[in-house]
Amino acid sequence: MMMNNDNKELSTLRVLILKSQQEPLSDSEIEQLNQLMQTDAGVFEAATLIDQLCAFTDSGKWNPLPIAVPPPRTVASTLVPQASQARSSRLGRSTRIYWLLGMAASYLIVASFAWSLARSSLTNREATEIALEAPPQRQFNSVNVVSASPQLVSMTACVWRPSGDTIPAVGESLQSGELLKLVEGIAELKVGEGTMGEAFVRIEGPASVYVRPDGQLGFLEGSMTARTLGNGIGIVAVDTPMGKVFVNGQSVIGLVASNSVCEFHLFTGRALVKPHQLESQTDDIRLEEGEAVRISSESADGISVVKFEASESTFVSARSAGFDPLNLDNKYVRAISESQPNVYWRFEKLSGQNPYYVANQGSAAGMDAVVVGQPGWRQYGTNRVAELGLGTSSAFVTVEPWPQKPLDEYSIEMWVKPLLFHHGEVLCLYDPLELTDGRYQHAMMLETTAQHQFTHRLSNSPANRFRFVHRRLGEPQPISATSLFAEHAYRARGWQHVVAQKQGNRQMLWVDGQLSAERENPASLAENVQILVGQVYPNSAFRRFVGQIDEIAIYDRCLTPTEMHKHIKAAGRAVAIKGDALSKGTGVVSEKND
Amino acid sequence: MENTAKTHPLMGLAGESMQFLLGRLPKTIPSSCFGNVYRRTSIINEPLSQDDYVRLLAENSSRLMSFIRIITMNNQHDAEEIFQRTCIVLWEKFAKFDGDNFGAWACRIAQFEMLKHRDSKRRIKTLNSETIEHLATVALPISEAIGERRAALTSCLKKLPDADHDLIRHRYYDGLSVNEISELVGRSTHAIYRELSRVHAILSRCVERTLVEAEY
Repeated sequence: MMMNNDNKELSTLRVLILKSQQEPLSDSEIEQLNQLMQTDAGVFEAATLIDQLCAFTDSGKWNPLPIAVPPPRTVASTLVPQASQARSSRLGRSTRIYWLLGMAASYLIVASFAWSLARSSLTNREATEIALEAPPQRQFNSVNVVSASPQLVSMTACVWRPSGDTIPAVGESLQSGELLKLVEGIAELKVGEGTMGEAFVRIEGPASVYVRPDGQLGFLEGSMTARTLGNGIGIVAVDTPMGKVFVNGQSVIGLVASNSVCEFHLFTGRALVKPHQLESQTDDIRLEEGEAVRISSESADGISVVKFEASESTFVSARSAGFDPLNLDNKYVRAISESQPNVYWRFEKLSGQNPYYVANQGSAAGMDAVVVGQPGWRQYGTNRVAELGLGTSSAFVTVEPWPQKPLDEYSIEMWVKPLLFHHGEVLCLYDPLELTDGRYQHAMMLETTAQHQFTHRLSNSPANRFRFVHRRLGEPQPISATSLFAEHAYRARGWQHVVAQKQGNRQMLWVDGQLSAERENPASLAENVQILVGQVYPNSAFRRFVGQIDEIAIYDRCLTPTEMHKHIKAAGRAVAIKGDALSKGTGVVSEKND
Repeated sequence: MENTAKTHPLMGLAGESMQFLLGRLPKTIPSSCFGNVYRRTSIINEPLSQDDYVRLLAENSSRLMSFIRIITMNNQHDAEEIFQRTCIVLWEKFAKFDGDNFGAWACRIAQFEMLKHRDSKRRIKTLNSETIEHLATVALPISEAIGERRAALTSCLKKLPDADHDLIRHRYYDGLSVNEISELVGRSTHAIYRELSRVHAILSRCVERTLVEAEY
């Protein structure tokens, strides 16, 4: 840790602030302090120092003032282990640890204080107030359920297809009869808040859901998961085209629905499925943990019911973002280095300061990746990867152009883990000359696509694919002449090794070591374009990529299949089997879209 | 919840004016409309309840207090006083709250209360109004990320060389004054201030850098 960009004025400012903490300042010192704090650098320096002093005040002695409220989970997972790993000092290891633990503990106490306030206000709410819009409904067994209007509580990269005058917004109560059409992304709803039928529901785009008059959900198509929070039998009901499912409290289910096929997966708890076309109660289907049932009416003989094992991998939102860890070590780095990339970004750490950047470990000069926004990071063992697009858009961009001359061949290799099905820009090469409308031309794009249900140039293209575009700058060409779509849908929340490649007249897209798509394209790669990772334009969050990336390597030549396979194996992973592995884990949604 | 007068749950306030205010605060808005979550336009004029106020204040109290502590330069007495005054004003003006970012609204009111408090003090005023305004501007985003900043600071402390860490520990954990430290280590108070300044600068840079690299 070096103290950079410091100067005498800032040092004087800090001394004055430190002095003010324990003795009155003289008039001249006060004047100097005010003067120094009226510059941008000075006031920021002052504020961050005072913030530190506040933290130390609270760590040195317990102070009942409510200060920091980081989530308890963060405290438990980050602070305490760090404290326990504190190095010994000459004044004693134990003292140091206690101090750090004390700091962590103060957060926990304050967090619980604020939480208790919030909870007390929740529990004080009268049940009658919550149940205003919810008449008693038909019940499974004898549980008396009332429901509040569902509310949209969070959205991740959601694209909605308007159905009426409004676009759903976080914090909004959904009205009876309202139809939600989620084109892409993941939306989280809270159903029946404050009642026994309270549940968190995650809808995975593309999906359609409507709100029933009793506040419960009707699920028309797509995928969703639901976690019931209350206790009781059949306290949450969901309508689907093929039947209705009643879910017990403390249960987790997943639903996949289309007009003629519905799947009900039960991961935790119990549930009862009542198929629409079966009148007798004896035909009701009870699901135990780990069971799933598929009801289909694709034949003229009525419906068919097939029980099978529940599969969380069918549901993107049932997997955590940490699913499928990418553990890479020096073996992988050596394998890449042997292929002599021009650009190699590992994302293990940031260098520099204002701006921060990922240092290029390849041979091309000046090709560091400058941080745009605030990307997240995720650690898998000793390997760190970048996580983009969650919360706000974030990206990496090069300052220097590349390549210095047009290229007839190149390869762009990386590990990609989309967190959901969406249209996002993984990496692109753009002409730094801004067009009059604020856009930029692209020589190359590697994207994840989604199902476009509204008017879009990709409406008729296959959904949920890696898309590789290579085109000549300044010569508008139809999409069909420059795009390549991977043969199979990509896996959400799973790592994939992707190589976009050009060699002479061939444009190729490789996924997990297999050639997934290929076309003729004679255009060379334009010279002096810039590399942008995570969004399609350098100055806007448009088409942001939501997911994780790692180990981007760019070559001014065509990697051989042997090299690609060697890289994949060096990562401890297997090369995909031709025509099979790519669709693994994409679930029913992707099959439907294929 | 009935529209009857209730004692202010946090401040212990009651009285005719409070009854009047409470009488004007009818029922609910969706619970997820609080904190940094904005309410949709169509219900923006829907009045808020006492429960809403309690919850909003609970959700934003840490941020508010962090903001106040920065603009009071970590003076505990001033911070407590301004926090109390701010809570009262927030309650009085809650009916006028536009439903859009309670935390930022509360900080703005705290800034005004700070200026009023400063003017009312007879003792030496360290910061002038213009400086407070500058400080409030940068304190706002800092207080918003207070949890992350604390975690980053804890992490950065671990990385300090032992000698620097000991200095910070002496000053803030052992509670030694700069004079006492100077006697302990046999150096001038000026030298100790400079050393403290240097270590704080290292920590500041480290915290900013850690925030940029922050892991989810």
